[in-house]
Formats: sequence, structure tokens, C-alpha cells
Amino acid sequence: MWYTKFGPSGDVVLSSRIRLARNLKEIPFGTKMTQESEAEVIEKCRTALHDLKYIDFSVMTPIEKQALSETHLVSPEMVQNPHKCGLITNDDCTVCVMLNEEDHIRIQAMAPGFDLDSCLDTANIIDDRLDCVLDLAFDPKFGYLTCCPTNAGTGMRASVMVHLPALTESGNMEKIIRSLSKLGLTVRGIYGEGSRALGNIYQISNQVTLGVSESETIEKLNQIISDLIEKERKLSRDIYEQNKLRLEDRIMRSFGTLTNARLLSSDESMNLLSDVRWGVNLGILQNINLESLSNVWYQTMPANITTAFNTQDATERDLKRAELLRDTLRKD
Amino acid sequence: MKCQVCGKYAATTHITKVINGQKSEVYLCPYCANQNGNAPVFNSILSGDFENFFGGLWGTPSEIEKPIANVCNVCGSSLRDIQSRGKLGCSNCYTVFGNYLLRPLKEIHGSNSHVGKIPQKAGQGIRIAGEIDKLKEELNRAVSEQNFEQAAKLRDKIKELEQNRG
Ligand SMILES: [Zn+2]
Ligand SMILES: [Zn+2]
Repeated sequence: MWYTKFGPSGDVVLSSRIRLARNLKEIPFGTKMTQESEAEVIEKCRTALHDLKYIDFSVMTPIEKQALSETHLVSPEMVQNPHKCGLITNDDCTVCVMLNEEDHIRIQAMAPGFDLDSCLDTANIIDDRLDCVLDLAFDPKFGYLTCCPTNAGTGMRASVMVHLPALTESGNMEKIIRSLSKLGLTVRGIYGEGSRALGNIYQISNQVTLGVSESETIEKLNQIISDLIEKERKLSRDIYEQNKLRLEDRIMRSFGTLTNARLLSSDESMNLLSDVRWGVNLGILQNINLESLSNVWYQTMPANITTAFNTQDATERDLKRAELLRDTLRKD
Repeated sequence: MKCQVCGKYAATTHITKVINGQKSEVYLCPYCANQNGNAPVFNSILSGDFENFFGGLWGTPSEIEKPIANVCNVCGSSLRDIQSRGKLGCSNCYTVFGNYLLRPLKEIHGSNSHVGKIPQKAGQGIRIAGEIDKLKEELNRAVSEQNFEQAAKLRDKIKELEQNRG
């Protein structure tokens, strides 16, 4: 899958995504929708994008839905969605259009690594195709009209998923989150609650959708993220130089646990995998491929394990997870 | 100190205005400061106003913020529905409650006017209107420069576009 691939600046940026929120002019939003209008949205979009694959999301089991959310193909909100909803995807899932999430249409275009420009190009192609045949809700003043007025305007959310072990380790993340929010960006940990993100993985995205164009938003985000990537790389080298033995010890211990443990919870394995990833980037660990790390990262998420191996409870999952991690890391 | 423009909210910034050589200081709340073209205030993003779009602050609409009707004539949403859910019921809600949205949108985005992509289909009329505005500006310039041949050409072009728009 695309999300396990190594893209531009892939040592720090795992993936990029553009989401465009769109609605149909004549159909009410969200809670005002009837079952007929929900079906109408799906039908119209399916017809407009007939060459892509349609997936009826409503008939999937909760665990299958959760598995798609773990790999970020659908939003967590979509998993909880009680309405009739669907997905339109291309073969490699770099395009995944969510139908009847909060808005009628949420186009998502994704790419491995740091590559928002190509994501915007792809999202625009889908958007233009829908625009050709459907009446999109648009107003000259408010832009694209969305269910929640805070998304109106471009309706665009551009985001990157970044792995920041050095900035997190040095205790700089809170400061960075504060200064990025002053620039109109949001930072959140993707996994886990609270300030410490599990696996040191964060999502950074724009909040502002009015008064700036799509390309300006991306240009600004590109600049800020490039700067952040350099900061992480430099700090990472500095930390290693100043604490060579300590860091090597910690990373080798994490590697040792991952390759020997019999039971591993997802929280524990995410933090250990973060160390291993860091170790690979610093050259402490050799012969390990970052793509296979990403692959096992997603493969060992709770719902993904459950759907793939039909595990019955948490212990079975932890057992299977440890086995998968052992196989991946020892083989490399 | 209260804002010297609206008198409603606490003043947080001041600007110095020079009128006819006379310097004067004006104390402003964040909303009025925004309207004065000051830098957008992003603080609200920090305080989580994105989640709390219709927080207590936006409770009662002032005169210029009054919706054009109490209930959306398409989906039936009332102002109270929208405040409590933070979501609109249909695209027509933007027409009905638009005035009420302007201030909070400006507060969180630093702007309340779209400048991004315009869809081909819905945007055709809008694009022509934009073009006409531009030509009108050029026309004014041509007239003030006494370039009458150019002005005549521009006038014809504007007429043609206005007919196309219907
Ligand atoms: Zn004021
Ligand atoms: Zn409405």
C-alpha cells in the first residue's frame, strides 16, 4: 500500500494528505438529510466517478471500519457514522473519497513522504470531475459551503504525518505546537491521548480556509514543514553526538525487546518501533528497511491484526503482534 | 477599558491615527481591530474556538449580524439549532444566517472572504462578474487619462460580458 512506501523526506515525513470538503447544492447537510438524500449523494458521486471502485461502508463490520481508520484511509468520525455512507477509491487507495461523512463529499488524496503538491493535483482532478457533472454548493463570499462553517472557503485541509523522536525527546514539542498554532496550524498526536504522542508521530495541518488560496496554504505549510524537518534532523544528530552510548543502548534495547518479546501491546510496540526507526535513520541499526517498518507498524494495529488473523482477544493479539514484529525485524 | 469603536468588548490593542496632521489614539477590541485592517488574530485557534464556533461570545446577534429570517426556508434550521450544533443545515443557511457568521469567521480565519478555487460550473457567473469589475477599473483609468479610444473599447467589452451573463 502507498502508506508503507518511502517518499520524499521519508526519514521524517511518513505521508501527506489533501482533503477537500464539498457539498451538493440542492441536498441538505448532515442531520437534515433523509435516507433518500443520503442515497442520492452516493448515487450521483458513483455515477460521476464510475471508473473508480465503490465500497459500501455501511455494510462493513465495526472492526473492518476500524482497520481502515487505523491506516488513515477513513477518518475516525466516519467509523462512528450511523448514516448510509460509502467510499470511492482508486486501485492503490491514494484517492479515497468519503461520501456522507460530515459533508456530502470529502475528497482525500494521499502520498507517501512529503508531497502535498502532488496530493493537491490529484484532489483537484477528482474535484473537477465532480464539478463537471454535479452542482456543488458554492458562494462567492463564503467559498465552498460546508456543514461546519469553520471549513467554509477552500474546504481544504492539508496535512502531513511526521515522526519526531528527537524533538519529542528534547522536550521541545510543546513549544513547537504553540508556535505552529500561532501560524494557523494544528498539531496533534495521532495515536494515544494527551500531550505525549504514541510512537512520536504527529499530524500537522492548516486550520485556516478563508482568505487564503489553496496554493498559498500549501506553500506556507511546505516552508514550515521543511524547516521542521531540518530541525528534527539536526537535533537528532546533536542528541546522538552528545549521548552516543546512551542512545545506542536505548535503541538496541528496544530492538532487543521487539525481536524477543512473546507478548507486545500496541502502545508498547509503537514506542519501540519509534526507537528502531530513529536508530535506522542514525545508522545505529543497519540492514533494516524503513518501508518494512512502516508495513509492520500498520499490520500490527489492533483492528488490522484482528481482521487479518481473526484473533479472539487482546492476549491473542499481543501474541500475534510479537510474532509479526519478530519475523519482520529478524528477517531484515 | 472598553473598545472605543463598538463600546461592547474590552479593548486589547490601540492604533494611532493621523487625521489632518492631528495624532489620535484609538483603543480597539479584537473584532474592531480586525476591521481596521490590523493583523489577523490567531489567538482563538489556541483557545480552541474552532471547536466552539458559536461559544457564548456570539450569543445575541447585533443589528448588522441579524439573520435575514429566523428560520431557514429550505431546511427549517433556526438560529438556535445552528448555535447549539455548530453546524448548518443546508447551503441556503449561508444566505439566511450569513450576516451572523461573518464576525466569528473573521475572528478565527483572519478573513471572511473566499479567495481560493472557484468551481467551473457554479463559478461561471462569478468569474464574469470579476472580469467586469476589472474592466470597469481599467475604464475609469482610461477616462481619467483621457484615453477615449481605449475607453470606448472597454465599454463595448463590458457591455458584451454583461449580456453574456444575462
Ligand atoms: Zn470593538
Ligand atoms: Zn438551511
